[in-house]
Amino acid sequence: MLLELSDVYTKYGQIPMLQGVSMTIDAGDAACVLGSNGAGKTTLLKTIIGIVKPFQGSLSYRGENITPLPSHKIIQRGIAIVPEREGLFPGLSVDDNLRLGAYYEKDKYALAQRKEEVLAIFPRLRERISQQAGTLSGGERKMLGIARAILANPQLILMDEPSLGLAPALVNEVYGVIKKIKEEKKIALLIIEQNAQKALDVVDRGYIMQKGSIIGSGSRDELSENEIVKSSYLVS
Amino acid sequence: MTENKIYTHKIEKLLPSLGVVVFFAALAVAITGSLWSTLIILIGMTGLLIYGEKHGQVDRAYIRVEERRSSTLTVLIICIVLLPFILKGNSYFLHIAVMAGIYAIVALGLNFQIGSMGQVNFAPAAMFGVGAYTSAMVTVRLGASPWIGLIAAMIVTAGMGIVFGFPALKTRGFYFSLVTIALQTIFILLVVNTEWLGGPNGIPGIPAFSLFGQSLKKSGMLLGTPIPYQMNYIYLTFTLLLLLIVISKRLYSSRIGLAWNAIEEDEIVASTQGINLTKVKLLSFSIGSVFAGIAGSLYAHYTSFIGVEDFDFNKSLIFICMVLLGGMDNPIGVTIGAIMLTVIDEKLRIFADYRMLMYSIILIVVLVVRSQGLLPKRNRKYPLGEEN
Ligand SMILES: Nc1ncnc2c1ncn2[C@@H]1O[C@H](COP(=O)(O)OP(=O)(O)O)[C@@H](O)[C@H]1O
Ligand SMILES: [Mg+2]
Repeated sequence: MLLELSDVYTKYGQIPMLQGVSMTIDAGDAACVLGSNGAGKTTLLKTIIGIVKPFQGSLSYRGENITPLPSHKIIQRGIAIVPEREGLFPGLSVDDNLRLGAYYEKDKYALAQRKEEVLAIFPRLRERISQQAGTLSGGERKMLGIARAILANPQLILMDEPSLGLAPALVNEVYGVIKKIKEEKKIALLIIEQNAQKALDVVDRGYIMQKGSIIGSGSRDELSENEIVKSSYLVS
Repeated sequence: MTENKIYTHKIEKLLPSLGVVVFFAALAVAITGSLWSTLIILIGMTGLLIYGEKHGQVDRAYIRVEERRSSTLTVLIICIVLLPFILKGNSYFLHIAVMAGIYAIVALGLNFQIGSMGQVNFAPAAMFGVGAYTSAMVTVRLGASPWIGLIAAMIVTAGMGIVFGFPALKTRGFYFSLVTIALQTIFILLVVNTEWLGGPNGIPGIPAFSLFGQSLKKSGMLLGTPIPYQMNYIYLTFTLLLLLIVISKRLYSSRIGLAWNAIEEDEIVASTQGINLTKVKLLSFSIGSVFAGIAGSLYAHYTSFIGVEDFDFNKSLIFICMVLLGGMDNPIGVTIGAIMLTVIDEKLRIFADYRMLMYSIILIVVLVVRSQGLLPKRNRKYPLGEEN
């Protein structure tokens, strides 16, 4: 087992947020968490990477208890995150952003090689390599976020609403890339979405989240037939 | 990319070296000339850089220097060797050059906080003072050699840098700046009220550096003409300055320099990329402070007398201005900024009481015209992988 959350509770000040969340991700697994605005999906990801600390429950990664570890140490264990927005360094070049994705890689030449592979997937980033990340379009920024995560060479990538704020054509493009990563790279994925249709297209299974709790889970097919999913997240 | 490798004219190959020579010639005119010639040079330099940046010449110049690094460096060293002679062997002119070099070292260190991390530290003069006082105490009170003083200054400032950097772990922006103003004030009060540190009277009789048994305070003779002792200090200071510029440039293109920039952009995002905030932030303060410590030690053993007014809040503001004027996060820019402002500050002595006023006006004008400083930071370059 790669990642395991056991009965995790968090709060913002006095306001409870996650309420007894348990979930598991296996190596090479692709799972999604579906939930509406304010359900606590972003909080869940922040908790996994140690920005938000649980006051009860624990997280383990490859058998190691990572609950008390600071963010940078958790990231170092092999987890990368593609943030919802505001997760890039807008004032730095695309190249610098990519370098920061693989911050722990000290071998410049191995990194250059890996970057070449990643840029082959994202040719548009290559054209904009010395441009400031803040000057990229929304779609390009999403791509940069994903490219940066792949460069980190992680076993697990967390993606926060990859379809959010993108035109339908771009959503398809982004999900095309995600599918490619899943098939070629053998990296486990945890995708957070409100757009269930797209997410269920690439994942094997998923969870439904409401008001900080997991209220259901199942395989892709089970979720596609689930009444809550159909009524709330499959409106198209 | 490849286009830059093809020279339109043969003379383009010589441009980096020519640029260095022109800079030193301008510097010599600025130091030896009147206030007006200094101002004209500053205006010319600003105009040239604005023009060059607009037409991509500055970026091309960087590439050319990279391609002809050793010849450029050779010319630079020759210019430094000749500097005392270009300055007509006049001890006052030489003194200005030494001070420019010393202040540039402090500004380079400060740049790691202001330029790289966006944390405005208002206490660089205090750190410069910590270095100067450490070196002075070790030599005057303990009778050690000034070289031991220099090493002691580096060790003490490295530690003090961590102390000064500690507030940066908990505070940001204005709050952090406020804490550094307090630290600057504490330093002054501590020195003024400590008898052992010379109190308000300062410390006289600080010994000079000596090399191969020769004191650097001894004037030399060259081809029958006496050369003032400041020449020795020009060589010492500029050798160290050159070394510290190289270190600064290395740091800028390293993971550490990149992490500092990432922290400036967004600390939380930086930590989600695996950056250890505590370690990287404290490094910025510690390394920057060692630079100030080296400069402080040089200053103490150069002037042989230090007083607390050499390290006051005004001095801190001047160091900050050097970084702003020169160009944030660009070691070459910061060095040029520091040298220009030191020279202008000297030239403004004729205005006596109005000196700070004039100084401020010049700064405002330059920064309004060119807000990013004379030579802003460049994009980092990364090695290319094999395309397949
Ligand atoms: N730093 C914070 N401090 C206080 N409340 C927060 C903070 N971040 C998020 N919240 C609140 O927690 C709830 C869940 O937020 P979030 O996890 O971002 O939801 P989602 O990503 O599912 O839309 C929201 O009501 C939000 O206002
Ligand atoms: Mg969210």
